[in-house]
Amino acid sequence: MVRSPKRLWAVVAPWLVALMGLAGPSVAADAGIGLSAEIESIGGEDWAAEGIALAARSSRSGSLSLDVRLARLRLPEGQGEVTDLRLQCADVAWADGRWRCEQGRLTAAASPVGAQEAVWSGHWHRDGSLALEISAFQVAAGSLDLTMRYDTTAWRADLGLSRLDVAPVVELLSPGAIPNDWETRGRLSGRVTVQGRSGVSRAEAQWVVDRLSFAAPDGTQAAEDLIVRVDLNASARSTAWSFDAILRWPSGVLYSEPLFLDAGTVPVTLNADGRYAPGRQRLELDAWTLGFGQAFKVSGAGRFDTANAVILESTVAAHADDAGPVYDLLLQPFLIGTAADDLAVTGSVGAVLHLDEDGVEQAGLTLNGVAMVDRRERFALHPTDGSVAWQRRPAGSDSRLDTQGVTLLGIRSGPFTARGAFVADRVSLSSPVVVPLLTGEVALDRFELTGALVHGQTPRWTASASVRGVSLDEMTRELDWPPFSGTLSATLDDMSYVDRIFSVGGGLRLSAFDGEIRVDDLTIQDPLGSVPVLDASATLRGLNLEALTHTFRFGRIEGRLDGDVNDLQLVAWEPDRFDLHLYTPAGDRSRRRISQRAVENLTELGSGVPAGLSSSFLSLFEEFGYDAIDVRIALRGDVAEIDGLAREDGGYYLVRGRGLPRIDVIGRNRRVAWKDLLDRLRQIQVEGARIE
Amino acid sequence: MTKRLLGFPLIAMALSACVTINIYFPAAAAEEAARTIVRDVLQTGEPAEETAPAPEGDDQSYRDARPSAWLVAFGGLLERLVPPAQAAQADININTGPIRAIRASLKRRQPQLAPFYQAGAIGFDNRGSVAIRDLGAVALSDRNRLKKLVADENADRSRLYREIASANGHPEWESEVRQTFAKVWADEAPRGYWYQDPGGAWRQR
Repeated sequence: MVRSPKRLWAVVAPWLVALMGLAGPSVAADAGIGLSAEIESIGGEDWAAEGIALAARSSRSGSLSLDVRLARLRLPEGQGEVTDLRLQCADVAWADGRWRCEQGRLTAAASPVGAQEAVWSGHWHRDGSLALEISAFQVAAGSLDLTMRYDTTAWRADLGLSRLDVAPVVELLSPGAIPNDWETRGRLSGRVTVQGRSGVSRAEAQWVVDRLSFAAPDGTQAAEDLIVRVDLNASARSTAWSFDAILRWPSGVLYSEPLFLDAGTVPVTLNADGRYAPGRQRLELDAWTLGFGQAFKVSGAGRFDTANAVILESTVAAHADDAGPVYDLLLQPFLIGTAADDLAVTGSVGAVLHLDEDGVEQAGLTLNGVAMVDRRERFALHPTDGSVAWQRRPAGSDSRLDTQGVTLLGIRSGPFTARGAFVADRVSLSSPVVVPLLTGEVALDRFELTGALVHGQTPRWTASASVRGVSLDEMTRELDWPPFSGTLSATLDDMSYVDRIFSVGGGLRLSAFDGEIRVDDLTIQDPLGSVPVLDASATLRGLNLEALTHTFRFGRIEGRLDGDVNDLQLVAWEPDRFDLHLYTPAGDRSRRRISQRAVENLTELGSGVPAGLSSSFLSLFEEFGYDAIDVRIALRGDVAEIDGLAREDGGYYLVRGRGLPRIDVIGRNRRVAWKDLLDRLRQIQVEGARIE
Repeated sequence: MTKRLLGFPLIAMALSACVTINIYFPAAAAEEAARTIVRDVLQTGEPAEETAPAPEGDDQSYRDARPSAWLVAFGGLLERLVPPAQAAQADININTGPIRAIRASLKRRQPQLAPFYQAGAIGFDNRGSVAIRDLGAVALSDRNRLKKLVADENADRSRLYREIASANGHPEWESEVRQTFAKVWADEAPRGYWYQDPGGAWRQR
């Protein structure tokens, strides 16, 4: 038993030299001489060869035949074994100072890449230089050509690959890299050149993988018909390899949850150069660039621990003249299930990330004319410039955004500037933000968001704001609600958004129609979801009916009006439930008059038909006195129930008149379809105009 | 002694008249309500009815009368006196604005989900949600679209279960409502659809 290749060579070499010496040109051998040797086994720590037999025979013509057999070769690092390996050359000839075999055979019954039957040629010079070529070596359903040259000072090996199956090659080079239950197909072609002197000093590779498809059983990783080209140049420097590489992916589709990339639409390229130290298992990338067609590029540098797959330190920078593809390709897939998963994004954006062993340490974002519009028309951020700086640890860097406005629920604000701090999972304002809105403004005095940047946490925010001089007339017009005049001023001390519920504590006060409207218990569930639900109650005190009816063009009514709205619920911004009670306040001493048109309209509202005053003697009167107005509407889904001041005959007063001529508006029907009631409101005609 | 003997049944009757009404989750009514909604969403089976009356003999809503055993007869008499209380407790209201709106949203989404149900890519899981069971059955370019549909569907379903529990005055019933729906989605699954049985195994209708 021989324990090492050197000892094997020590055993075999004298025999071969002797044989070659006998068969060489200096010897005229007329008779053939045969020599043979057998070695039971040789081996190292993790390899072994058994059943080695060498046979050499000189012929009368002066050439040699060579036959080397190896019954079993166990490959290192568990890469399998080769059985019945045989190297033959029937004609080893001497010429030009070297032994040459023009056509040898290499066969193996079994190997990790299958049975083999290849052709080889080679020569060996007395000075020790040699060359070997093996062609049509069958590997992984493809073929492989190998050329090796050694000239006593340097050596070089060229390996040509033609249409090798990817899966067995990957399994051979990196066992277990492809899970057993993945379906993987693809062909590998290309060339690898390795050269050196005592060891490997330089390597070059050009690989093409085509028809590459793979699929994980759970569908989270899959590819179809990929073509990937890799060019690699590497040279050894002391204990590390210095390299530069280019990966081009011109076609095929890839799904790697949650990302989907179609290289046919957006071809991908990756350039990288750096160093790799195999001993320390450290990868240093001096520069890398990942390009997505002409759309955008991501570049960076960093150090990595490849043994533990850990980022030691890395910087990543990205820039896109059009942020749309960045959102579509890289951001939207991560935002599925949030309110931001259906946006149209435009503008130019740049980003910088710095990572250390604990993850992202700081990040910066630069926006230039970036706009985001929700495709479901729930909200929009209009063109915005500025920069956002985020840090894991508190530090003194502020962010600033200058926007041309935001749109929420169809109402667009004016331009404003926001300054804030983004630290860990918190976002807070550095100074109040004043948002121009409908001739007035909303001043956001305090805003704090938590949980927005932490995976698995639900974002929640609290804020306080004040509203000043917001035009109700414009607001109701924008919302397509019945028109209101007046302004909205309010102090919102306790706004919050927790568990998808927006709530306003402390109430909301509106000044309108010379009176006051107070909104309490305002909550909105899932305001950006598919079914937002608003709940609130409201009280109306001392409204000037003349101003109110003028605004609504309802027909003039003078007097004061109080009201209560309880249990108000809007579903998807449409009224679904409320209890409304509008009434003349007790003890009201104001002048109470109602015009003929208002009577007509109130009557039509209650009954669906006008009172017909114009055809009676009452048409002589422009207006009438009244004692009380009392309208109750209880909405439950599609049905509204109307009521007023009770009468003994079962009817109810909507308007109880006084003085002469006295006119009462009395309701008889109590239930009306909400849709019909809305139609009546919309169709009230005043002075030839129609309220829409 | 005779007076005592006569008085005892009267006392017992008075005691038995002290009826405790326990509000238990009305499983049968909830199942009927769930079936109404599921059929409406999936557009299968009988036309939807908006409220589900309590079937007689609802075993989840009962009066915990505490008479002695020998006073069963008096208890039976009292039971006849109090059925309105039982009936009132067993209805499940599904006729509120939010529930109607969520049902409409679910219904609008079904045509987009149906091909994925039929392909076996998604199915009804045993928690009343939709689960992705075979993403490999979906074209690579459609996988994120499906994930968004499923995320939106499950957000609506969760809202639906919460709203039904709240609309009936018992927010704590949400998990029971969810379980009830899980069973009904599986029961009503159209032919070819996949559903998860209570043990977690996937089965095809």
